[in-house]
Amino acid sequence: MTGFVWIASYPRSGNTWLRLALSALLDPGRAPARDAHARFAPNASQRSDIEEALDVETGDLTPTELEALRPVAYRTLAARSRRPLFRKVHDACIDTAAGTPLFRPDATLATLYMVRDPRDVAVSWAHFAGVGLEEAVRFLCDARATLRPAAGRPALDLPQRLLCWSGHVRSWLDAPGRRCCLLRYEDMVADPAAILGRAAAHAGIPATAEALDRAVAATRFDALRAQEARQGFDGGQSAGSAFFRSGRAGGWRTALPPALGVRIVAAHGPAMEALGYLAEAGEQPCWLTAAAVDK
Amino acid sequence: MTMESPVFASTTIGDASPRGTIPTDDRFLCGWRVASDLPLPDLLPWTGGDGPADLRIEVGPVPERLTDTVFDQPLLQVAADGTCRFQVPGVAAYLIDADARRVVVEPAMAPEAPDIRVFLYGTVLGLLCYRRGLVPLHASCVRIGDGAVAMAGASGMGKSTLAAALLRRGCPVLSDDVTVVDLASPGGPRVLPAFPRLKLWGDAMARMGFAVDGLERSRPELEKFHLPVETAFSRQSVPLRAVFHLTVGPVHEAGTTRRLHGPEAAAGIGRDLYRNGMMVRLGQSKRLLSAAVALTGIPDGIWTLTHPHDAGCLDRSVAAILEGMAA
Repeated sequence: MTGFVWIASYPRSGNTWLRLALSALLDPGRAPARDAHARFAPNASQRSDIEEALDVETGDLTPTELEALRPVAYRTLAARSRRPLFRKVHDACIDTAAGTPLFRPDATLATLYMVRDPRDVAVSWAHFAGVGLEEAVRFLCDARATLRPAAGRPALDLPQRLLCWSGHVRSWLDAPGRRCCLLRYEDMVADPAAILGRAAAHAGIPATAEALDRAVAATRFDALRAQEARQGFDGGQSAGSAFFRSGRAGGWRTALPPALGVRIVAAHGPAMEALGYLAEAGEQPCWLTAAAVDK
Repeated sequence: MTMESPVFASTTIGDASPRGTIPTDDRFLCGWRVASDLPLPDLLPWTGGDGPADLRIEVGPVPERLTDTVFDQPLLQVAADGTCRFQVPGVAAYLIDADARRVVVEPAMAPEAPDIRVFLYGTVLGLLCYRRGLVPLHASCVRIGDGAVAMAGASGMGKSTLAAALLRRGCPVLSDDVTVVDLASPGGPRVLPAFPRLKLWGDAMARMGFAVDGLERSRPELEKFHLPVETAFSRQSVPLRAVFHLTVGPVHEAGTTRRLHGPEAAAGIGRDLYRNGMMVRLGQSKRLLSAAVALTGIPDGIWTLTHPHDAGCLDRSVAAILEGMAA
């Protein structure tokens, strides 16, 4: 048996970028295809996984049944597979009603958890979902937030329960089993090769320094933006929006009205502080110096 | 379109003797005579000859475990002799015997609940087909002219909705979600008509102007309804002319078709076999490729159809299929 490598994050936190970079490591010498991220690591909530594992039509199952059966399906696929199964995850790492972790340790090889300043996430989510900033902030503060296919899109994925932003962060950092590898979007922007190297090492993907440099070069944000402008990129964003938008850290300082920034800090302050999002420049975030960081 | 009250045909069929006070429902499915202890109101009454039943559906105990399993997973077990056990916890357990002529159902809820039939017409029908040497496609199917046209694709792609839209353009329905194909039929692959109803999400029905009032839900918890189509159902088997595999894509490509040839066509249709992994679990891996290759030989071929769900795209997909078949 092998198992899953979960590439988990709250939406709009760099998950696609990380997957493109990891897939470039595994397929060197080629410009990443438009769907390289999805081929390398499709969505864990895709119906086809559950159906292949359990031989049942997911559209005929109730939400309660699906929640109970998802961990069973992941365990089944892990037991069947002879190689690591990479999956993108936006769900929070919740327990099912029966108390089973949705992403159970006995189906898990490794977890990469990518996190981004929620104020930047809010700005990015507003663009992605085609909603106002106020609504985006409300979404990040909603403990019942669920990701569903937008109207007009095929429901190829199951609904994904996110919790609120800090609920999502805690669900993954406190998940049972092997500790996840915590990756900050801001660090990936600052030093992509170093963060990609940590991610690859944790996920068991071999990577030399040269390979990391090549993968980083192939997935530079400006290159991805240019490719999107040329060929388009369907990441589920609202019509007319770009998927690869700024690729910067800290854009919220000019894009987010101060009152909304304050609201995010009021709702998620402790988690933000622990991740270094409230620290002054140069100050060490406490979680990054503590055991939460994968060695 | 209004819902007609189901006909419950209570009778005794062939070698089947009535057990206790349970009536036997005498029904039609894929050309088979089905004698069922479970009420199966979705299926047409049997109007064929007086021969014995081709398939018996009994209500009774199903063992927790099969012995001598060659495949043993949480919902599906397969024994070395081909006996299968499928279970949806809280709904029912289904035992399909080795020659696929008898299904024993042990309900975990009221036997007349639609939930039990939903999985009977899904995974269990798929298993029956594979065991009987037929090929089920993950597709909904309508008749256009004198041929059958199947719309295949992943769950959630809108197969049933597209079938409903074609029905409104006058195309009789042959099947919904599982399209059973007889490859051994003289003259090439034929679609065996299943039952006269479509299973549709309430929002899709609302967009197409179908009322959901009085319709049965497929599961009480789901906004998914059974739309009866008795008056527009093709009861005769029909040669399979074309398969359209529905794919996602941008709005400006809605209704775009591309014909697949050779290995690409075989690979495409191989993916459209209903729960194709079950073929492997039933020890029929070798049949998978030959079935796929045989299907590529249908007269009007295997196509991809870009089928986004945005406003207006359904009409473009319908037009693409109708124009393609008229050409």
